[in-house]
Amino acid sequence: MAERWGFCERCELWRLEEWGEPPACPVCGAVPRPLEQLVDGVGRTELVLDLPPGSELPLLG
Amino acid sequence: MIRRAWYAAGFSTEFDAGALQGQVIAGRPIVLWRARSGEVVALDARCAHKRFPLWDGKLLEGDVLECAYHGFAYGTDGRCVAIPALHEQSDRIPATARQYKYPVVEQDGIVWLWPGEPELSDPSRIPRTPEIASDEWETVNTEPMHVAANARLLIENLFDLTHFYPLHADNIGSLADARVPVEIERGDGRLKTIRRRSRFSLPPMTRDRFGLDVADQVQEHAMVGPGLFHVVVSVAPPGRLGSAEEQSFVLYQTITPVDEGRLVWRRSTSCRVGTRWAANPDRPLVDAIVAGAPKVIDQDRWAIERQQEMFAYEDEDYREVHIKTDGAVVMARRMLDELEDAEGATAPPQVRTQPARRTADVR
Repeated sequence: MAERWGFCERCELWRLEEWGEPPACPVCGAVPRPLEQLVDGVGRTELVLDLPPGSELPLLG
Repeated sequence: MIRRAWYAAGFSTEFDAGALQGQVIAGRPIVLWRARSGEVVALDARCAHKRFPLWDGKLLEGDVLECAYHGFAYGTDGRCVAIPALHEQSDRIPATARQYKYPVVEQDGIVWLWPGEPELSDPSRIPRTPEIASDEWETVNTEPMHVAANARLLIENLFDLTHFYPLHADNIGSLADARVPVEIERGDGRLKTIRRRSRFSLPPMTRDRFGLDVADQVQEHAMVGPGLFHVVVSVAPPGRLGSAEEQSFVLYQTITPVDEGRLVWRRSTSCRVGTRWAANPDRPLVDAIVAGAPKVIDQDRWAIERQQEMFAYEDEDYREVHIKTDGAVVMARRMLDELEDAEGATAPPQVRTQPARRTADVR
């Protein structure tokens, strides 16, 4: 299995690891979130974060 | 420091025929000039005789570079062609009196130089920057900016969009920029982040540029090797990305390490010919993009130079905390570590992948 990037929220750490199947942090066993998907040699990771209303406005501009 | 890479020695426009330049690229002192033939020549700047810096010499007729100390003179191929102290008839110029000539390629408006082993240089790997030299694009280049920071700190800064607040809070900063969803792609030595926003209210600076209150936007930031960062920002009315209503700009940023604590940063901004600055339609869009840049550049430079200053202190048990949104930065760091490891080089530990901070480290 190829190494993939993943973020273990329990270890608070980005790792390049073989996460296994089902994916689990090799140190603490937590589920990585997010976990990189490998397709044709290209790795893709998606970070989705909630945006509060009005967050597109400049803060001090 | 990574030497097996093509680095920008400058935009083509920085090289006037017959004008000597001295640069240090990846720790290599180099004297450069544009010869009468048009070729940009780059030689080891340490005169083979007594190490005197050739960038303090002068160019003679026939593109011969004369050292200012003892007058050793070198041709564009690096061979010594004259030594005033030798008798013309009875003495011979030593074959070893020769300057190393660096591989240089001028392509798409940039002069690229390879400071690594010459046998490993491959011009086909030089990244393309077609907009810079194209008649179909209007381009504004910056002057070279000298920054007192490790080159990796700038690469990390360019990937790290979460610093828009608070560092850029008085111009481009917003919470949305700090928290926008991001897709990260890596492969073939490249790393790219993609940020897509739909139907979002443009902040005043962007509204002024594009003339839209609400828009869809795609923003791509890519590290194309250690020496080049490529940004493309496309904006259009909702649902119209990819149509004739789309407006975009392309930004190339070259990052040339001088040594482990200094770099030279150049930016080239391009917009398609004919695109206008919405709030000032007698001027091209590229002027609007460039007009907002100096303050942002100064803030980024200030930040990474302050980081660099902290390298003076031993890490001891100091560890960085990496949060989820640092994903691209951590990946870039690992990719650059791999390049460096492959050539047996080492960067300062502060910019390499480090053991992250753990609860046990917190005092």
